[in-house]
Amino acid sequence: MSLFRPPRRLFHLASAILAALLAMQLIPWEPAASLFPSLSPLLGLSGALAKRAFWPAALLGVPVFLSGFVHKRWFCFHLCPTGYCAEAAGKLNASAANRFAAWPRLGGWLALAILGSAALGSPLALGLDPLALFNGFFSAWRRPLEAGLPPLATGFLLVLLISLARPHLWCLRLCPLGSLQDTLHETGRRIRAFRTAGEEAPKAERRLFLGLAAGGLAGLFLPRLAPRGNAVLRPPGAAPESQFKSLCARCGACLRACPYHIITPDLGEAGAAGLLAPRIQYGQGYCFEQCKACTEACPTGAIRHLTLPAKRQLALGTAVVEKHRCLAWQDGLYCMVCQEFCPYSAVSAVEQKGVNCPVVNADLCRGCGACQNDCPARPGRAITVRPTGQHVLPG
Amino acid sequence: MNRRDFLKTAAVAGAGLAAPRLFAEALQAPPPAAGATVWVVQGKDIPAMLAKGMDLAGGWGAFVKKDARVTLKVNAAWAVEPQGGGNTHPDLIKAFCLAAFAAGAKSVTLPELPCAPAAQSFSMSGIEGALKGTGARLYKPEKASEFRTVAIPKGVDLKEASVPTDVLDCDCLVNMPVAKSHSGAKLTLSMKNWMGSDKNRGSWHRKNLHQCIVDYNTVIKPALVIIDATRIMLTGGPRGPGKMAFPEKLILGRDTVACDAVAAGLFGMKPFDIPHIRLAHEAGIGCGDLALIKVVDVSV
Repeated sequence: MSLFRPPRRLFHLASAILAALLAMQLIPWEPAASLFPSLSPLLGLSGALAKRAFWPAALLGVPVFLSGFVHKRWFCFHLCPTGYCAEAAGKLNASAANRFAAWPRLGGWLALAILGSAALGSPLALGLDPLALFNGFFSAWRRPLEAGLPPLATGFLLVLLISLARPHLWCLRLCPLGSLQDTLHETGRRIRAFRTAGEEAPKAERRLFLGLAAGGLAGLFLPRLAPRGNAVLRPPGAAPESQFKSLCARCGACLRACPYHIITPDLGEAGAAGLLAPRIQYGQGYCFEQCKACTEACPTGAIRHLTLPAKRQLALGTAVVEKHRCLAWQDGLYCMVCQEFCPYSAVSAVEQKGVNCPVVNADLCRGCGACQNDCPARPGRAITVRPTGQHVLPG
Repeated sequence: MNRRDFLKTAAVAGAGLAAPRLFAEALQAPPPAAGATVWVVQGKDIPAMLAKGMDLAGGWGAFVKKDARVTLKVNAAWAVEPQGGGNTHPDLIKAFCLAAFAAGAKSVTLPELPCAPAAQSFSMSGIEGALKGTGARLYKPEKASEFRTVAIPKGVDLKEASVPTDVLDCDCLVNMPVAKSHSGAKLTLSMKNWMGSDKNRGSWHRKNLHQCIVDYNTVIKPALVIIDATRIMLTGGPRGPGKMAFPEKLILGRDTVACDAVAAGLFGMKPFDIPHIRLAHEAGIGCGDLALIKVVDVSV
């Protein structure tokens, strides 16, 4: 049934390499980062389903979804980069092949849970999608390497380890995308059989609905059971906090796309449900007013696409002056670096004993962190952006 | 210095001076404060204004020798467009670089530590585009090897600075700031422009901004200052946007303090209202007293 019978391995290798190049964002076109992950219907399509929104890249999942009806696991054997790597790892331990037959098809349940919960608005476990895992691995190696980055790479490494210990186990039993295709192919086979041979009419299985419903409910309630964390700053265009944590596939595309390295994986600050989801931390840079790279990169819509004018009208949080640390307010020094660096003229000066002191105008502040990033007060900056929730500014 | 050394020095200096009356004056006051000449060229054609100003300042040959390594400190700090007045005008920079090469320069180098991300500052300011094809090199020094720590023996608050080697190791150093208002330093003119040449400039704010500006200027001494006052930001500086004025002037001089003192007038301010101009004058870096500065106004 294979479309590319003789060079299948070569084709598969080529797509794995292409996927790695795209994941490392070595191709200088910002939307390219999300192309490969968008191929997974579990990322693009279920993201669009959950957001009740649509964007062109989400359509990439449609041919993959449809191919599942016709060719059994065509995607797995030709395009999936994680599949290629898992297969290669498995070959190193050929003697252990097929020692997984007794395992239940967890992946099938997982896929149903993802789709069901996506339909209800908060997809569950998107991070287990093989393309998200693959991207996460390649996104993590950003220079300079920060302590928070390697955890993003662990999912893919785990897949390789599983495949080494039990070849094919991941692909055939655990992977939600692989199992989704099995389900689709089975459905397709029955439809064809019904049409040609007049076999029994394909009836939707109870299993399918059970899976979807259970997944949907789990998606709604599981995140609420997780311990709550603190509010954090999210990349511009992030979905509302409760949805963001589940909609984010932890693929790392946004933090890799950010030229200023202010996006890092959250290591638990925002609670267990937000683990490894991207957050903004100022210190090395700020959210540059001419940049919207991260909003181009997201395959699931957890971060929506923004035009530059829209991004510039969006506040990520609000800066607050801590007078007791401020060189001007506290020490009477000429400073005003915060006003100097503010791209939005949101810091104004009031005079205190002949020296200008900073005041933030919350109606103009975008929470971009330019002030915090360059505040010379030590230790601890005298102006910091508080995660007050993303909001569009008037005017 | 003992009396004999002093007399020897004085005799040598005296031999070089034609008028005995000047000699007597020179003994009374330290040389920089004795006065300065500042050339102010007004016009609309920036290359022609620069050419005129350079003629008045002594001609290109006085500054750029054959095969000289020229370092130009512009202001390319912000990712804003030329008309905003946040950076030195790209046309002025281009005209300078072309003329410097024509005068025999081997290289023209523009090291700059911008405030906004470098790539966008250099491109949006129009400077990168203006320099294309001229052979001049605008860059942001980043590696440790591109800096050298310089001791500032006369520094009151700033004792050392981490300065791009191109600023230190050149044959001709020219400072080409844009004049604009400044939220912290009141105005940013030529002396303040050097903040873009210290890797540790953040510390200046913690110490005493105005004194640190002066301290830096005790060691880094450009051969020539050219202040871009073609358009000036009266408020909202240093980044802008702010209220603009269009004096259409270039201010040239060898005395950085005098140039700043004259430029302050464009903002309706007295030189000594700007603490670093007053401190620099008192420290003898140059002359900030308008009564002692000879201003030559020309139009092209």
